[in-house]
Amino acid sequence: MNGGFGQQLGSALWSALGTLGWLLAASYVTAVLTRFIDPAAGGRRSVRALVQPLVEGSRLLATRRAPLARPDDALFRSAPALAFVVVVLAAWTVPLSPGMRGGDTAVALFLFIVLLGPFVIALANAGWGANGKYGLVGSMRAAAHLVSYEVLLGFAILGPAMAAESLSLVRIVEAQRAGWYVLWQPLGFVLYLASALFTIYRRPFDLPMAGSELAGGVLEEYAGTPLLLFRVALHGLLFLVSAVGAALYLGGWHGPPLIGSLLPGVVWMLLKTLAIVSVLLLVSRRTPRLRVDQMLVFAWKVLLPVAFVNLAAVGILMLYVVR
Amino acid sequence: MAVGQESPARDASATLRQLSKDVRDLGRRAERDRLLALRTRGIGVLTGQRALDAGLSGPNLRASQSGSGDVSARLLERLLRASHELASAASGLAILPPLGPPVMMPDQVPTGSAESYVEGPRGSLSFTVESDGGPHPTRVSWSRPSASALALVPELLRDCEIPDALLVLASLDLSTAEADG
Repeated sequence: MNGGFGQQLGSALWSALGTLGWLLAASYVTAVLTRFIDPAAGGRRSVRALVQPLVEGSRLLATRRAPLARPDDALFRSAPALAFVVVVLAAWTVPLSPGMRGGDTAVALFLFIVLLGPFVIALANAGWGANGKYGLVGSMRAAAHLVSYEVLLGFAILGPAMAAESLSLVRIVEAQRAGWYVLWQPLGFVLYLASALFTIYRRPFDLPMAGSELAGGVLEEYAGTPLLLFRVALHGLLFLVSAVGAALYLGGWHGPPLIGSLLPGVVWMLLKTLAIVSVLLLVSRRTPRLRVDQMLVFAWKVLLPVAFVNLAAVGILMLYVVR
Repeated sequence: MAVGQESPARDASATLRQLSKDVRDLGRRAERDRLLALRTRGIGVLTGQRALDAGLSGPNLRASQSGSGDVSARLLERLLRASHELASAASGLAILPPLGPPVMMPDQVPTGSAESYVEGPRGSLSFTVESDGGPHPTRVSWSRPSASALALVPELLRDCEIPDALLVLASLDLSTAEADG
């Protein structure tokens, strides 16, 4: 019994370390891609973009934050760690290939969405804890953000879950062996991309940290390692949301027919994920930041009704066509 | 005009013409962009009468008189204006006469005052210089477009949300250095 427990603990540790490793690598890749796609974000389209995230990261480590006037220390200090841990846990639910299943639970998809919630809490805590005007506004905006996207994201992922009759991401990917869900649920895919835009905290929905508007918003007062943790977490989040999109709608590690066997599954998964990352970054680059009320209207009055239509359509298709 | 002087002017003229075309394209894209419109229409509205009363000039005034007077109108007006000005600068450069001899400052400045007026990118600038015949003017004053626009800021920003307030401020194209002068 003890040996079994030790073994389980060991494998859990290995799994955690593995997840942490690939998440860090994924954050790095996303950071490089961001610099290539959105030069306005301070990047340049050259080989130097490959080392830029590392250089900036190490420079960041050397910075120190200015002293704060009566911060809520516990919230302020714990927020970056909470954000990072949440993203690592979310990464644990995402399978990358049949060999890298992560925490393949029956409710992985549900866990993934639930874990995105505390990330917003971390942002809200960060803004609140700093005891500054901009941070406070950012904190309130983070709350508005949570109300906007959480329900929408839930509905956007229901289509594939219905089709595969499972909340396990591995099962959903396996169910797409014959055909990707994007082929008969294109609207669901678009909805998912729209709600993914909310979760990555980039324009048009980067309200909590809106660079020019709030001088950094909830991240205003951070520097050094805590800020680095936030940045890694945000880039990791972009990768994770895209990876889940690839698993839900683009067949995960199943390659396209005919050429699918040319590359290993994990490579297909990475290619699809990076394709979604690129689409999200391109959309984000071309859209201005919306106001909070416009964001809420967009989420609740435009996207949510569309999500209901999509859900009904998927149900009807499943009853009368797919079966 | 020597041949050597001619070609830089022509090059500059061609560059300006291209720039004018690019700015016009940018203006068209900005006009068609529905998301940009969503963000910029209906905020910071200044009616034509109010703009006149406040002494605005240039793009800020024209946006209120011929357009809706909001941030979007000011942005589009400014881009349109920039494109026109670049085009006329290009044409002007193409027919630029050769440089004459340099104009020298007269030894004796006549007593009295002189006024001059120029239409700048932010609006009309007028200068008044008074002299008592000495080597330095006794009084120099200039009226400047940013000063009257700056005076309107508190009124325009009242009840604005933070994100809108920034856009309203930017749309006025204020130059604080100019307003201070």
